[in-house]
Amino acid sequence: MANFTTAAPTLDAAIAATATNGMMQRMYYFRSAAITAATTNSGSVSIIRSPQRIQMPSSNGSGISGFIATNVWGFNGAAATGMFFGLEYELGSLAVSSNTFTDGVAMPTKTVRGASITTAASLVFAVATVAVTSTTPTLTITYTDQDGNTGNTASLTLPTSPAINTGFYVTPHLASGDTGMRDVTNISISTGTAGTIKVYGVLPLMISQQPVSPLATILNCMSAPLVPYLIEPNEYIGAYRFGATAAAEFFYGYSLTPETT
Amino acid sequence: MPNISTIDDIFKQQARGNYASRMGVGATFLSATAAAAASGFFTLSLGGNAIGSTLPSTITEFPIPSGITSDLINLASLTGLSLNARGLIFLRLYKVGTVTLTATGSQFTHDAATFPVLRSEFGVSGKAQALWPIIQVTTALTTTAAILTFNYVNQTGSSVTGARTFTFPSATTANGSTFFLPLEQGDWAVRDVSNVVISTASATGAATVWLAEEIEPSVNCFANALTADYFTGYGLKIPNQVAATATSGTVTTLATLSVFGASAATTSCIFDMSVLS
Repeated sequence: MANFTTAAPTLDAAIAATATNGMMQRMYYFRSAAITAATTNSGSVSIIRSPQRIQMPSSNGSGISGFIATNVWGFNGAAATGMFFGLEYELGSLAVSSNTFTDGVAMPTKTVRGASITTAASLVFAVATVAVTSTTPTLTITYTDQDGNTGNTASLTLPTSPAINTGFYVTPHLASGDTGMRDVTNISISTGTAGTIKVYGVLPLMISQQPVSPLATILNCMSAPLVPYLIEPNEYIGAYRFGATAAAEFFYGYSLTPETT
Repeated sequence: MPNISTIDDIFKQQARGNYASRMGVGATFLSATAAAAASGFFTLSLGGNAIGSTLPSTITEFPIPSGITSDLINLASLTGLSLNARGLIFLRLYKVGTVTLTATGSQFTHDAATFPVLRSEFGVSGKAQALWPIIQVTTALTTTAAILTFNYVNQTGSSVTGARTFTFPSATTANGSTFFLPLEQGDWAVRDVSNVVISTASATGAATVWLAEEIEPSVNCFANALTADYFTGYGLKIPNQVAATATSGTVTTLATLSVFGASAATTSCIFDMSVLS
């Protein structure tokens, strides 16, 4: 019987589901090279996205609708930083040299507290998944906002030639009054000869900070009022670090509690 | 009609994308002049985002989406420091005015905005906010430690002529040093500052008077140990990331991640989530 996605989840039901069905564990390690610093015109916070992300199995087996991230932990090798992990959706992609947009997925519908909700991401990032060659380009993202309004735009002025895995926090540059995105309908860049920029929407599963390395303090759905999103087949969990540009080691993992149907 | 009435609503608002997150690393706090007995024993140093801030003159906020006019209730926040025995506090500041410290007498210039600042709380609109008065040195003192008293409107709206003196902790109190102003017995917050009277002047010096609203408090007993705070653990004062508004005019406000309890340089970081109501 479903628990976390219902209107009245209980800890007893979660423990019982774990005892009956077992707990899925995932752990990852990744080392990234240094990235490019953000500016006040490109998110105001330097972000590195780990290209190593966790993909859920293509099916869960009988009686299991998905998993809940009841324990998420991770740290990285740099002091004065923080990390966050979440369900990650590729909303769109841009080939810089040709200024060609390729559409991705829209944010999914999730059952939250018994209600079916069209989600929107308030954590949105433009990531150089292939190093970009360009001099202070203007990146323009056309999107559908959290309420379903179409055609809104967010514009960022990127630093020159962002390194691979550099992420830029798009959300502060949304149209006035907007807090999230349901979908991306176009991405364009003012100049550039190489690279790929992808826009990801993230539904947070865990947030952390670590002024001193490697000691992180972590919040997840069991310790703060974060949504216990159902993690469904084939979905991805992404990992991000903010606050520094130095090369980083990521070490992170999840304990995933099965949600029964 | 507010969008949040129940815990269910908080989760659903998040899922709909109706929330905002600040994240970032703070600019390294300056080594300010430590407070002493006659300046409240409490040292405060104002900070901002490492990207865009040049302390103490330029404090850049950690960004959130623009144009949010409804309440933005803080759900969860993580703040941390690299040094021990400090506290870190996320404050919303409201600028009341400026003070010249180089001459005696009434030296306060009130900003054009009319106080108190107001916000809707628990269905009551236009509720006057009683906040903490702080003074931030904007030009360093030299030669003499200035001494002042100040007049204010207290938490219940009564006008008070201050008798308690505040003495800057050093004849060379550094630019950026920030302190709490002393209130009279029985008062714990103020709605407005009406005057600052200098009884002993410094050769140089100027300051800004702010009213400070606590958004996210934390303590840091040893390095990196911090309070992960959110509204249920906040002492029943619902923290709102959207600034209160002036009674009339436009008040200058600043959201600042500040360190208290020490004057040493230190670094900090923050991640918070606030849901739209």
